Amino acid sequence: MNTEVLLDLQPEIIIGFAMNSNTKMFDNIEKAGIPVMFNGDWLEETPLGRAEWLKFFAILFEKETVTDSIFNTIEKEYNEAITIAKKATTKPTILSGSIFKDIWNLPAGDSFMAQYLKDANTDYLWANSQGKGSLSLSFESVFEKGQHADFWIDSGIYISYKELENANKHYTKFEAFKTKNIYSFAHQKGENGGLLYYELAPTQPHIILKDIIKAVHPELLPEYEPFFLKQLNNN
Amino acid sequence: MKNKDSHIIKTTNLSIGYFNRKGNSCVVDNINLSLNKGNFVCILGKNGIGKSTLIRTLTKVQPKLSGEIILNGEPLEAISNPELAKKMSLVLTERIPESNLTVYELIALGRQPYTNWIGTLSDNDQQQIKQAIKQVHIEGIIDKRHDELSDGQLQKVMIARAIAQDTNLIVLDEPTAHLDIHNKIEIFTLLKKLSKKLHKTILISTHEINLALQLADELWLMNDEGIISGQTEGLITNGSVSKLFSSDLITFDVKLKQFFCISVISHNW
Amino acid sequence: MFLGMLLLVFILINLSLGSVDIPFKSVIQTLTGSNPSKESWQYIILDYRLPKAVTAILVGSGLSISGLLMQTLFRNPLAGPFVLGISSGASLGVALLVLGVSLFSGSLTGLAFSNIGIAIAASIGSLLVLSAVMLVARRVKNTMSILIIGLMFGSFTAAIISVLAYFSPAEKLQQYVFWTFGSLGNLGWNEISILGILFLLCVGLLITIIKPLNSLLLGENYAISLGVNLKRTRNLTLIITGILTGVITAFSGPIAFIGLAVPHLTKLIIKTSNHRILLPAVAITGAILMLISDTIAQLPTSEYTLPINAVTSLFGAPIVIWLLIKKRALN
Repeated sequence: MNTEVLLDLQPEIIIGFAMNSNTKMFDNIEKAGIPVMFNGDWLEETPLGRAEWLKFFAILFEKETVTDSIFNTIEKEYNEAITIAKKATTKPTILSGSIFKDIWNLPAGDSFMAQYLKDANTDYLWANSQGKGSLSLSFESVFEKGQHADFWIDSGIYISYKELENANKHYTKFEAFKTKNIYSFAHQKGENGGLLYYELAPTQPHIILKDIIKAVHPELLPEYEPFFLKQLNNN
Repeated sequence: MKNKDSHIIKTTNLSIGYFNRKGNSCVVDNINLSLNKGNFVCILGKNGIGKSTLIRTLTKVQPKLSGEIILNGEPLEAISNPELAKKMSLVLTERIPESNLTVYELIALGRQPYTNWIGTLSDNDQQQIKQAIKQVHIEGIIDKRHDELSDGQLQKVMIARAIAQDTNLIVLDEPTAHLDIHNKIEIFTLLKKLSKKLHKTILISTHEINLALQLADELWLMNDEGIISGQTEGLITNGSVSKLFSSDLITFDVKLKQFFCISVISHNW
Repeated sequence: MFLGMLLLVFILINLSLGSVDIPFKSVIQTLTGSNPSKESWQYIILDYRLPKAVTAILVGSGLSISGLLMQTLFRNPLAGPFVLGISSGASLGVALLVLGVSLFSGSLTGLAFSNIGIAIAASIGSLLVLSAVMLVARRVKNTMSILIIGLMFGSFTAAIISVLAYFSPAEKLQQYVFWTFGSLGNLGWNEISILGILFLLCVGLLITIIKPLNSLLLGENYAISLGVNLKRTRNLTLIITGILTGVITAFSGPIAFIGLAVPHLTKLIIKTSNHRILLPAVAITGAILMLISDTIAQLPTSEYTLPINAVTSLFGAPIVIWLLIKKRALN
């Protein structure tokens, strides 16, 4: 970030993001008389908690009432989805993430994705692992554990089985590949090629949860049309 | 034709020196020399006069500026490197790079011009190597690494390598530099022995005037006016040797065949 | 012979140790063709660990051979593909391809993502840096200066890469960054056969220059006096090192220190400088060391793995320091 350009813009407020207490750049900006607020949404432990940060931004724009009702809807729909998921008679096993070079990156046990998978009433195979971020595991340990997983949710940037196979032929040895039960968030792209999932997901946890439920328990949401999470294309 | 046979090297109007961008810098020109078979020849002259340049040019290490060099009746530049390697072997002043080479391996490298594409040593090669080791009396150190040797030992090993290369001509650039007097004498007598016993032609550059005067069959004297060559005795008697250093500090005693420092003779203390 | 046996032992160790705990008996059963107790084990051994082991062997011996060639050619015990910036050259080639193509045109994009494209780019990059270092080395005779120049080439390429990275889309950058981590387990049999064929080609060429390489141990002038065609030998050596380092770096990412350290370790064990013995010995030692590094990197029985580069640096860096100290003592 270029501090000079930023000061020249003369914003009313800066929303900062900091990983630790070393915020030298922001201190400089504050000295220039521009107030700095830190966005801590990434510290939240549940998807709903993160969506609730809508309220924080609403205050800045003086739109508290509208936002409150929006968040209440999100919360209601999310909780309803959990209830629906509980009706499921099966609890499918789930594999996630993808391999790069030797390393298989997949969501850790305390991550949002793990929370979604839990709320969708599934058995995420790495649900008991520690950490909020991602796990970097060796291929063979993932293969040993996830080979027979019923579903593979979030297969990274690939949107077809062909692409997946070209990227790494080890993928084809998974049960979920053979039964075509792989789902990806990468279908919906924004204008500049970025994934809509990354941009919109934080404020739409209810949709993501329903997408997952639709994928693993289709019978529970017969009418529902998934938005972010879709099955990989066949070609 | 007989002439050709007795001359191993013959130069005509040879100019030696260096090529550079502004034009060639000539060190010595108009060199007409011949090197006779089986002779032990020493090149003498003060530092910077061009001894090394002459040696390097005659051995094709650096190109000549103009003129002609004939080796065994053929122009030097027409002889390919592999052919040349069977006619002439070298002992240079440069240090050998660091490696694990043992003395035996180092001498064995002298057989490379004769070995097959991958360098297998035949029985004959082994025999030649053994002979070379015997000639310079280094049987005791053949398993040592080359960087464990003293300067004198290393020089003998390099000479043994040149012998193993089995060429009629061996050229050595200042083979006794850095050696003590004992080793210097040993190397000189060894070279003399090689020329007499094995009928090798040996050409060296050296600063050991006194040893050269005693042992060399022929001298090439280099001074500012050019190069004078001839039998050692002849050059001593006609005064060429005493003119080698045109300086009032040094004088030459013809009878003793030795140079002396003038100050020692003229001032009594 | 002894080294060959040792290599076999370490291949077996490498195949039997990994994140998944597979009993040695099952490993042997799988390798001999009979069915092991679990299907997934068979897949892990034959389609994951075995290609990885083969890659480790090719990478380890290839880099070590490159290192030995450079040490002989530069007459410098501290030369090696990583130290002299050759690996950085390969990285630069890949960076220009992966990051640069996205900046300038779309037509080459297909090539940019194929492994062949990356292999070619890395080979060209390493050959260019190698020739540059070679040119400089002819003017500068001092060992330390050449090393510092190699280091400078490394920082220089790193600088170009960061400038490129600044203007590149995040997706391409990520692709490049992951590539730099270095890995052995990412290659399928197709890629391994490309690597293997090029490796064999280089070894074939190498055999033809064993004899001149030996005479180069005496220095260039002596080599010429022994009938060596210096230009041809030097060019062949450069080509072999360039291709080996480039292709290996392209497929497995930059791997540090193996090329430098292995020839020295080998020379400690085998007291000869004859390339006819030294080259195969160095190749096998390199393969063994790489297998050991990979086995350590897999952190057997844990689910995690270390980057292979970290492991080889742990081996290699102390060896370089030791060499420098030893050299100082000699001077």
